[in-house]
Amino acid sequence: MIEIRNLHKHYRMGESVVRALDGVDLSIAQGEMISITGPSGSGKSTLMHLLGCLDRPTSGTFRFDNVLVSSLSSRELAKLRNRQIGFVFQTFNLIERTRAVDNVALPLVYARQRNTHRSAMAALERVGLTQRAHHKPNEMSGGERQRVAIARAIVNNPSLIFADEPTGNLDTRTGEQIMQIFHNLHASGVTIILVTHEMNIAAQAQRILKMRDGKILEDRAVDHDHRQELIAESVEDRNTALNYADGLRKQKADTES
Amino acid sequence: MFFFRIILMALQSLRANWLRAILATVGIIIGVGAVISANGVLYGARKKIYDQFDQMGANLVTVFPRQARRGGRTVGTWKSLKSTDVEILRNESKYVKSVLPQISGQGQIKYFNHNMQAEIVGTNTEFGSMFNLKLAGGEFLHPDDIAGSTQTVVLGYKVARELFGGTPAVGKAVKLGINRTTGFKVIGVLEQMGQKGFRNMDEIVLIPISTAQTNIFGIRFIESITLQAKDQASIDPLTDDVKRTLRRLHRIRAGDEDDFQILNPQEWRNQIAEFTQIWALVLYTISGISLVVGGIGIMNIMLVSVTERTREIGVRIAVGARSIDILNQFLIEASTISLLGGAIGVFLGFALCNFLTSVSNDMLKTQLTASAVIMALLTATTVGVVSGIYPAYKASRLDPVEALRYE
Ligand SMILES: Nc1ncnc2c1ncn2[C@@H]1O[C@H](COP(=O)(O)OP(=O)(O)OP(=O)(O)O)[C@@H](O)[C@H]1O
Ligand SMILES: [Mg+2]
Repeated sequence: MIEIRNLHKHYRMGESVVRALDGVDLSIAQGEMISITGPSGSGKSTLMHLLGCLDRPTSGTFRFDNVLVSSLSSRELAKLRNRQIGFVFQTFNLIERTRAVDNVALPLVYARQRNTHRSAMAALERVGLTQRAHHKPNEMSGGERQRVAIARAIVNNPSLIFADEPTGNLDTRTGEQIMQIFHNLHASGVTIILVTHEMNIAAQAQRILKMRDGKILEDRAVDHDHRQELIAESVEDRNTALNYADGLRKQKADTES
Repeated sequence: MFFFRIILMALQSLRANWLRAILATVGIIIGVGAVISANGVLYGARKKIYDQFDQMGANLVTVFPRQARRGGRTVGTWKSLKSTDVEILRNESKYVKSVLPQISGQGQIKYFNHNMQAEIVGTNTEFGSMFNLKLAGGEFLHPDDIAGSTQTVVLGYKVARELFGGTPAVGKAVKLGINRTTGFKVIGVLEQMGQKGFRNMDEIVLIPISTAQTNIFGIRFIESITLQAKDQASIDPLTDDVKRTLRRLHRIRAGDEDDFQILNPQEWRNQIAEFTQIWALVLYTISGISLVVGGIGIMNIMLVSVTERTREIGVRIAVGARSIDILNQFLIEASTISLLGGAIGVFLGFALCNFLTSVSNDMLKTQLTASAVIMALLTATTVGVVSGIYPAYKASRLDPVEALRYE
């Protein structure tokens, strides 16, 4: 689905050049769930914006479904973002004065669809928030807002969802609820790319990319044992992590039996 | 459908900041309000004057004597029109329907101990038909009265009522004159006619022109000759005929100036129309300045709005808005603000018009035309679009990544 080769993104800051991305190679297949981790400033968001067709690279090639993205016009890029890609942000980025259902309908409006209300309500139902459809963002909790944002990301049934620190502004419990929604989406075949620095979140993916200084340091699949290890290492909320590991163990036992 | 949604979005963001939006459109409100009320006053005044012409009687041309100076030499006098001119004019032009000489002045009229001021008008038989006057009783001046300089009088409605109360006036003897009064016999009373042109027909008394000249005013000339053309198309040829005939009668040599002047109502109308247009232009220019100020206000508020909503713009682009969508959104928002300002302006202008009409006791009936309202609203919208172009362009050019990072 995604093929990038030797991708660079440089910012010129007066004399010096910031290499936000410094030669990244990456392939992502349809249906994967990937975490991108790394210290602040390592280029995670930059990579996500490039993969999400919001930004153009300084050099390198990027193919999306075998189409060379650099050959697309800005109009075609807008269409690609609209139909194929959903974004979820750390700060939710909802439009404040607008009801939840209208926030969710926004991609449909730009897709010039007529009956947006029903699809928007269906998306809200998928995140379990129909009863808050007519509330404005400032009348909702952080977790609810993030669920609205996810509903907005999935309303056009995209094949790929990017989430930049989706749980960063939420408490652990709410974060877990949000993660559950991503797991469900993943189960339904959507490719999910998750930027996070919380290890217990990152470990929930099947593949973890570690970035540093604009490069991918490590790219490995997470097997079952390794996941437990990672989760156990996570110091942020050890208990939750352990509970989660227990849950996974139980899940595994269930599936094996 | 899509545009409709964008308009809804614009209204939504306006609602969040409506006070600021209204303040930004003060220039538009004042500009449009000024245009609407100025327009109402100008066209109302013009209509009032037109109506007076129309009431005065259709297709009238009036000749006045003129005293002009030319190189130290006096050309004509205020005595230059004579009774003899009247009959010759009547027969000289095929475009004339009737001819009416007039002399008038304020005088007194008495009936026993009742005494009042009235306008004494010396004229002839045709006065009644030319101004569409109707009789409440008796009859008009008869040609014999004119020929015989009889002491007969037709009373205006109000004069008759003041002197006689409800009792019949026809056949009674009254006394009238300027300093010294002499006896007249009432032969007719007019119906209530009100204002006709520049004269209140209820406050006049009509006497034969010959009687007025010799017995009341003591003059040989006449003050004006009013000619009624056969139809509207005859007005101009009649004017030419009158001019030619009078120059011949008054022995004016080629190249010398007339000793009379002819007022052609069509010319008056044209001059008034031109005058209104010039004033309208002046007022539109002044309001134009206010609209420019309004445009700057809107541009300013839109720039603020674009900055405030940088993140929102980033999100919209991220979920698939094209730059043209963002451009349209802000353009529509700007023109909606401006249109709302324009609507408030129209409303205020309308209120001001009504206020002026009521404080002038309906002397000035302001005229609010649909075309003025439509023009004003169209202009306001255009101002909105024009002043929205730069902010909207700025918004549509935003880099989504930068916009999403914006704090
Ligand atoms: N517009 C810009 N101009 C200059 N430098 C930039 C710009 N955008 C990003 N950078 C730099 O690029 C590098 C990568 O930034 P990026 O936002 O991708 O980091 P990140 O991994 O997402 O960090 P964080 O975890 O803090 O979100 C940083 O050093 C940043 O300062
Ligand atoms: Mg980041």
